[in-house]
Amino acid sequence: MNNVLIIEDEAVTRMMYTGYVQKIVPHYTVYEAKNVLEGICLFFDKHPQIILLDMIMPSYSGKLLIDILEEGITHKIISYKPKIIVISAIETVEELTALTQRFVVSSVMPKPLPFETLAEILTLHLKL
Amino acid sequence: MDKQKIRFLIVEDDEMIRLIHKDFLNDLYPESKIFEAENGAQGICHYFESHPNIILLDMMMPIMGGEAFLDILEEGHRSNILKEKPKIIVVTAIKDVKELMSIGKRFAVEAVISKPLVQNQLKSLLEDWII
Repeated sequence: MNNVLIIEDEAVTRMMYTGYVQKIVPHYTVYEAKNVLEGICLFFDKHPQIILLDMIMPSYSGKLLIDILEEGITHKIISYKPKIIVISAIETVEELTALTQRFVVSSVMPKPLPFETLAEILTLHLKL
Repeated sequence: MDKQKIRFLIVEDDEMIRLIHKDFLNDLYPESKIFEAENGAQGICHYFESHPNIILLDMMMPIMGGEAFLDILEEGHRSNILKEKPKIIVVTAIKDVKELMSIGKRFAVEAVISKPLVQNQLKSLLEDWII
C-alpha cells in the first residue's frame, strides 16, 4: 500500500507534485489523476495511503471524493481511511474551516505548495 | 450469467422502494447476494468493493445522484482503470424523453425503467441475462 495519489487538473502542477513526492518518498509509487472521477477510480484500485487533492476542478470538485469516502467509511463499506491533504487556492475562511471539519481530511494547505512544506507533511503523516 | 454467482446492487434513497426491490430479487434469485446503498456515494463504494454484476440505479438522490455514479464509471472505463462492465438498470421518475434517451446511451446502462417499477418488466429483463 505504499502508494500516493495526486488529483490535480493542471498538468504542470501535477508533474511538479509528482516530482516532489518522488524525491521525498522514492519508495512510494505515485499515481496521477487529472480529475476527481479518475481519482475516485484510482483510489479504489490502488488504495493509496496519502491523497493530495485539489478542490477546484472543472465539472466535479474534490468535494465529491470527500463525500464518497465519508459515506463509505461511516457505513463500513470501506475498511481503511487514507490521509487526504487538500491543496487548495480557496481563500474564504468559511470554506477552509468547513474543509478542516471533514473527518477524512488530514490537512488543508495553500496552493501552490512549496517542496519543504510537502516534505514536512509527508514526514508527519507517513511517520518517516 | 450464472444465477449462483449473481451480485445485485440496489442504489436507491427511498427505504421502502429499496426493500421492495430487495424482496423481489430475493424471491427470484434466492442464492444471489444483494447489496444496498441509500445514495450514489455509498453505491460507488459498494460497486468497487463488492463487484456487483447487476445494478438498479435511481437517478435523483441526496449527497450523490445517479448522474455522478455513471460519470465515475465512464471515466474509469475511458482511462482503463475499470476492467469490468456491470449491467445497469436505471429506475427513474424522470419523464422527459430526451433526458431518458440520453441516460439510455450511457456506459453500461442496459435499460431505463420508469418509476414506479413494474416488476414484470424487470423480471423479463433479468430472465434474458440470468441462466
